Amino acid sequence: MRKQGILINREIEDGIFEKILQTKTDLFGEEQIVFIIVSDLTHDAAYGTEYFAATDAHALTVNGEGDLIEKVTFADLERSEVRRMYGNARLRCETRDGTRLELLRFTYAVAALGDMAATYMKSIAEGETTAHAIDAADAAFEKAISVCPRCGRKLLHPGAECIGCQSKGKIAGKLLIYVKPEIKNLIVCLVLSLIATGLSMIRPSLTATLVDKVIPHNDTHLLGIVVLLLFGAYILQAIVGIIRSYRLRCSAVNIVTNLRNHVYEKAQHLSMRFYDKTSTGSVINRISGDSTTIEQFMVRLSQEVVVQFFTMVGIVVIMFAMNWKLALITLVPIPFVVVGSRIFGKKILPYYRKVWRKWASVTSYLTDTIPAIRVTKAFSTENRTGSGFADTTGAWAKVEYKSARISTAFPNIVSFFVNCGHLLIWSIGGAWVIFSQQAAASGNATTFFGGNVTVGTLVAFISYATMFYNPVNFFATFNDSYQNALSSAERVLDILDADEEPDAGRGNCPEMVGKIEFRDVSFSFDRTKMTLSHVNCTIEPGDIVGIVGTTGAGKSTLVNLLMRFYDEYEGEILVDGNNIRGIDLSYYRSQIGYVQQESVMFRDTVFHNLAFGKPDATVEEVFRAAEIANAHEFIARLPDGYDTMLGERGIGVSGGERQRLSIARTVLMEPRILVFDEATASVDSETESQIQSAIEQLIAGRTTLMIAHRLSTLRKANKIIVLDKGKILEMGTPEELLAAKGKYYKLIQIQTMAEKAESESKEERFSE
Amino acid sequence: MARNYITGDIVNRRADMARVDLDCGDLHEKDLSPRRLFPITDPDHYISFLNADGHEVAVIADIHVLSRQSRAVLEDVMKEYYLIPKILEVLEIDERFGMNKWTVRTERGVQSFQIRSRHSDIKPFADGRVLIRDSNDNRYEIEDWRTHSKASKKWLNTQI
Repeated sequence: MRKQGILINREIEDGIFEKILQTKTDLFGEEQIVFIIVSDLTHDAAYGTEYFAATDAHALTVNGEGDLIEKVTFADLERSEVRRMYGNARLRCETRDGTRLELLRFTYAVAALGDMAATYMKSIAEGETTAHAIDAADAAFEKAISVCPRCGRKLLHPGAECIGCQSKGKIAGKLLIYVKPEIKNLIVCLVLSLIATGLSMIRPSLTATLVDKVIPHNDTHLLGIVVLLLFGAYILQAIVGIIRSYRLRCSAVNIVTNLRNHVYEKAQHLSMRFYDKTSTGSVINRISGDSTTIEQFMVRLSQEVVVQFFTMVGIVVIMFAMNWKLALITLVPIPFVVVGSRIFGKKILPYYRKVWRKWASVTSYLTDTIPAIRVTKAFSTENRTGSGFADTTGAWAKVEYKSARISTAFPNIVSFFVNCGHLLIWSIGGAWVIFSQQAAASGNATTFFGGNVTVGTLVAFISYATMFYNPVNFFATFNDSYQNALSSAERVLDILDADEEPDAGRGNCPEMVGKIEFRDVSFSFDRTKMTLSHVNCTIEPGDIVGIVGTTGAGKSTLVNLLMRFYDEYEGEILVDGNNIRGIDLSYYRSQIGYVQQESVMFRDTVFHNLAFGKPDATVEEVFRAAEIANAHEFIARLPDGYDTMLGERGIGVSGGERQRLSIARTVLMEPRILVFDEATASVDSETESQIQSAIEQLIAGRTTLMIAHRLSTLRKANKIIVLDKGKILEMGTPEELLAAKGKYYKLIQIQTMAEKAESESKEERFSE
Repeated sequence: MARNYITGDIVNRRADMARVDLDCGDLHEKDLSPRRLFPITDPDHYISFLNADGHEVAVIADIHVLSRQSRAVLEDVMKEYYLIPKILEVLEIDERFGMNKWTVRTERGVQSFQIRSRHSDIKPFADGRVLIRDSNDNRYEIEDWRTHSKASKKWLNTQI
């Protein structure tokens, strides 16, 4: 946003704004302020605001009252930077005479603008054109405020519709879309339920007839009719019940299947950031457990709620028609049940959330430890792992006990009130029948409550009251399942509403040759530390580029950005002149072959694993790919050949074989760009040479990026990029870098010495 | 490589806001950044001193062995570096559009922030401690939620 043409990131009070303008005029005359950054921390780390205002030659910082704290002249600057600390950061600079100036302090909410300010000052100090620096500042501000005004999520581009806020409505409303395809079947079930309920309502009336008319008058003819009617009603009820239960079960299965499929499909398209912050156990729990809870609730909602409601209304009408005074007595427990239900709902929801969290911990523990069973055995930690699991389930059980205290007490309390209702009917209704009979016997016209009640009416009433309390009980405990489902729905919606991987260029599939450009690319995983800073490089089509550097230098991150696993970086990455964010995501990734250090194989045959990226590949194509990857022969030697089943993570073949399968899988995709991320790091030298020969066959004519610790694997590279602490330290041909005697030269020297020592040690062992 | 534990007292002074100079026996190093090796679980033990290249020069196993003066300097510098505001009271949690906006009172003043997911950004511990990460990756800590006011607990109960 702007205020009087000046870029600002937050609203500034007019008084403070005028003071900043005045201070600027006093210090720097008529220079125009380009931007003002409003911080969220004071210099002494209290929450508050301070202001950093920059012209095209100077900057000043004022405190919350508008009083000057610091001023700086860009021409005097030696360097400027954002110093990232834990939970906060400082914009600081150092002048040529060695003076350090602390300009602004802020949390990570403002860090991106702090980075921009540091770059702005530095670029002007280094003589870059002011117009360019101002354009960059403008872009940074636009990006900083490109967030959804409602939810604060970052938008794909300024003015874009927020993915998180699209079609937000009531949770139940959102989930009802899964019920919609089953609506016809559910309506049929509903009609059947109403028929069954209607049939069940006939019973008490027929019982009353039996008690009042058949038995006192010894009417065997009527007895036969009533019994036959009851028998017919029972048969009809059973048939209706069987059909309804089956159809309802099928609908429930369809609902949960659709919901699960949708959640799983959505989970496939979520960004890597989601998975960085969410445990896989928790995601699995949502797809399996929570979906079932929601399905059960949806069925309850669409069926029983309607049936129970009509049952309740029907019975109330019948009871009031039979005897309104007794009907009123029946309603006495209702207020207690309703109030209790509301209190219960409020109390139980936090417990359901806690129970879920603890259960998610149990699932996470399982997903962590079961696949790592080899490590557990290798370190003999079976007992410790077992007791760890017991602790986790113990913590879950504790919360479950607390939850059970409330959730088990409530239905019993409801039953108590309902039984009290029965007691009232029996006592008042019973007394009424007795007084009615006594009055009839004595010929007294004055009766209890006015009017007579027969034994049959009382028996029928008791039956209706029992039937009436069923829906009351249902609605009282319905809150329980509603709260449980609400808690599950929140978690499922957490996935359904999460940001998908941005794919702004869907449908844009330009021909790719393989030229890659990184333009001023900076990236941070969690804003606390810049993983890549201002990376600039150009890779020509067909180049074989070795990316080297120590662990944590940012090599894999660079590749992750090229693969578009993360799209929220500063700067641009271009392939053949096209910004990769604007290319169809699926098409783009299909053009890049990615071979990782840990090659993952699915629980399927070798053939299907190779054809994973191209399911319609012919047998010949798969064979050719396997041959290029030096894998065909070892596959042929396997007893089951291409039908060999691979276990989880490729168990059944060796590490080197698995890696060659992974390369074959990539070959089949015929990608334009190849990325090898430490592809030979975890295999022995002999296997490495086999893999290396496979790689060399594959890379011919393709742009190739190879991350490698073993520099010997880069012998085919015509360009080397040396990364250090997220920055490009050196770049050029291997010869150029060796001649420069910099970091690459040192790395080569260290590895040569290490290899020499290793080979000498081997020779010694052989000669012994 | 053997870790260089500082066992005796050190005479240090503040080089700038977040760095110290170390003079301890034969060790004379300037511009070192102290880093807690257990910033969440044990902030007063195992403080590592890193030089400008990020290499560890020395470690203090327990901050309490230092003289009052040295300790004050070190604590001051770490206070400067580590910002984990302690939430003293939750004033409001506004849940809309899937995002939770918290307004809290901390020892550094009142602050509002957003939580993306209550399931992955809030970590309660058995001893009542709660760690919170907001949508900007800032961290907050509740030392013991059980000691919070009734109103604060009511808000927290909806989240943890």
